[in-house]
Amino acid sequence: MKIIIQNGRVLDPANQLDTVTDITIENGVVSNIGTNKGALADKIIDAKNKWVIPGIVDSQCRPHLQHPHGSTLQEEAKAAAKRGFTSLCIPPDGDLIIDTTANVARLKQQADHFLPHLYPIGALTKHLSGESMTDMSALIASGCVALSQAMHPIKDLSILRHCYDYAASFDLLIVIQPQEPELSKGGIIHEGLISTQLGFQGIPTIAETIAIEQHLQLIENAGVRAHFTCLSSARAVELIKAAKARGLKVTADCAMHSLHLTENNVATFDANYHVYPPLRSEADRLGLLAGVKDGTLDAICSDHRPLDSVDKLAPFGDTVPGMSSIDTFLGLGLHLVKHYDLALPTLLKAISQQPAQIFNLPAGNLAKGMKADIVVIDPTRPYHVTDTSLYSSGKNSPFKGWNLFGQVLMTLIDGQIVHEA
Amino acid sequence: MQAHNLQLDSNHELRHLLTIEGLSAAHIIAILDKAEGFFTKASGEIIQTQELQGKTLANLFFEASTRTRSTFELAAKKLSASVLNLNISHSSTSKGESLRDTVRNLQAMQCQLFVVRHSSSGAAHFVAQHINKGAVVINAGDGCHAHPTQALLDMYTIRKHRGDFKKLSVAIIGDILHSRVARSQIHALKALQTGEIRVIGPKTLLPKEITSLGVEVHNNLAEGLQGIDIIMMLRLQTERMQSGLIPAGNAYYRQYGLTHDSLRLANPNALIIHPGPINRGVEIQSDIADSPNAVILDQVTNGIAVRMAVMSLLMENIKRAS
Repeated sequence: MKIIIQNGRVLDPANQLDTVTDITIENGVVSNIGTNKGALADKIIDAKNKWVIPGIVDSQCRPHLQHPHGSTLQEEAKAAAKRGFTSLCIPPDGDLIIDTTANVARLKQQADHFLPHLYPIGALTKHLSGESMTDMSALIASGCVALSQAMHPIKDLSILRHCYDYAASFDLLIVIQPQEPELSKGGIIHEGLISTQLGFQGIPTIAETIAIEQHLQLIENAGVRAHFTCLSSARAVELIKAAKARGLKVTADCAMHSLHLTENNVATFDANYHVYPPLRSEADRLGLLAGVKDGTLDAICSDHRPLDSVDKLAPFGDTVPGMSSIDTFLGLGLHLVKHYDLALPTLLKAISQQPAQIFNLPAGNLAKGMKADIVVIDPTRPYHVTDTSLYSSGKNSPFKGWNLFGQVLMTLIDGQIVHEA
Repeated sequence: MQAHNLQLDSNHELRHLLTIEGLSAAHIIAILDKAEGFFTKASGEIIQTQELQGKTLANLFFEASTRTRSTFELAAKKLSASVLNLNISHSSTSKGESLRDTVRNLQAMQCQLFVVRHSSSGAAHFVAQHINKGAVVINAGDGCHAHPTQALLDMYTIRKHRGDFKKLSVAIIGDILHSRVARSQIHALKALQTGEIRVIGPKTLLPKEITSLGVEVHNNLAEGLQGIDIIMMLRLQTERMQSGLIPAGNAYYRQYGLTHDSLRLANPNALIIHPGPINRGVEIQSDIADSPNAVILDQVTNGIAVRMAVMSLLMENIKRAS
């Protein structure tokens, strides 16, 4: 099978490429980049006035294996493919706790050639209970790309230290969602202006930053590689920046929604703004954005968490935190380029090249010989966000009513067209 | 859209009463004036009217309450409405019927007035969002967010005893962090252009950004009480001690209790109000609670008239709008 994508604006920051040209794909891999007029192919795609970019690599996505109200991981992954995602890193704390090789296999069984690549992140401790470590190297051998406690921080620092020391012995990557559990316990929204006004128990910024400081010391002590995910505060960005300057092997990301929304959005009591970690202040949003711009934050993740409508049908504090975000991810990224001076190559690096590098995935660039995970987008085509326009079965998006620009016209995974609009 | 907009209709009239935030002085004064009209001039008794005959009020209490629930019931009966009292423990709803379904069922039973108390901030907003036209929602306390009728009856009481708010210095003392009453009081006092509003308490019982509400913060009772005309006490919930926010024992009373010694620092004849139930010897010296300047029982009576006024006004507004 030979496919040629012709005349598109090929954007591949990893190879400093931003030019109108053709991409030839043969046997699932990129075989040539350059004008290829008159060449024969099984399929020729006209990408004139369109952008051709590496497929999105999501460092944190939580599709349920089997959602209690129906949807399956396959359906969510398919929806993700339609929105330009070609690789999904799945944390271990879903409905299937990824703490054994059997559970890795169960998750991998869901993989299919028409879906984004699924990359499980294994649990650091059994049942994520924070007590005894998992067989980390076996989890990695069976397909996990990293190890994490996800949203279940280990309270016993001695156990955490041993986990990091052990992981460092095999040069394994640790993913950390930093949150000091006692400081955030019972909290619902960011501790600040809005929690004061609405009378919600707050989740203080120090719950995040104290955890980061602790983790950084343990990381330094163990010499382990670590990736911080879903950072929510400006101070957290500063801490990561300082750690990188010190030479620590750390990387970090934040969720796309945290670059757009703040605690002020919660004032409506709309449960779709109920997320964890919480939306923080405008200063925090700007701090995160600055972190993306200067490269302190290596990646932007979706933190996609599709929920059933029942999970959000209650007073704010009684609802399940989480946001359905794959559908709006690319549009919101381009919104940052358009309205917040984020350089387009920086965005593309943060949603593709860099997360691929962090997790050591064969993705994130369009070099000759790479697996052809490619997305063709129309950057000008508007997308009005409504319940029905969301491909995800999770309708828990606070962006409903927004007009976003940038529609995915075509997604190729391993050189196969898996979506065509 | 800010949450409090939900309670105003397109003419800026009250559609529901969910929070004081966003209400103007005119909104508040209209309620207070209406409440005043429910007292007879001669004996000061609350009159019986037929205003809400044929209407049904559902007292939807997901949290225990005696005083608030009873005064809502009395207020409804003074207006000749029928009353349905529902005491629903929070756990039973979380296991079974959702709040929305409970409300829909009650609406099917032709209840028009919903008085809602719930442990979650925003619960009354949630009910208002899911209710049909023709019904009104009155927030009787949602989490630590708002308790608008309490603040209104406090304003009624202050106005009755001390008059013009612009000349008054007011201090709210105690657990502001967990107090829906304090938040509603602050919004009401601000709307009425109160001369000075202070909050007094230890840092563990004050919300982090409390100054954003336009109040002056004092951690020291003696400093905070200087020159104060109105002392608004809050009940200290003993679970705060258990959760380690303040020391166990009498430390709170020693530092923040309203005693004869501390009261001397305020202006002479400072008015003392308290939303009840009072903890004698925990936040207030027992005989101060019974002194002539403590109008705690008058507040309870005023609460009936103020709640009548709110019900009456909301039903008038909805009638006019339809």
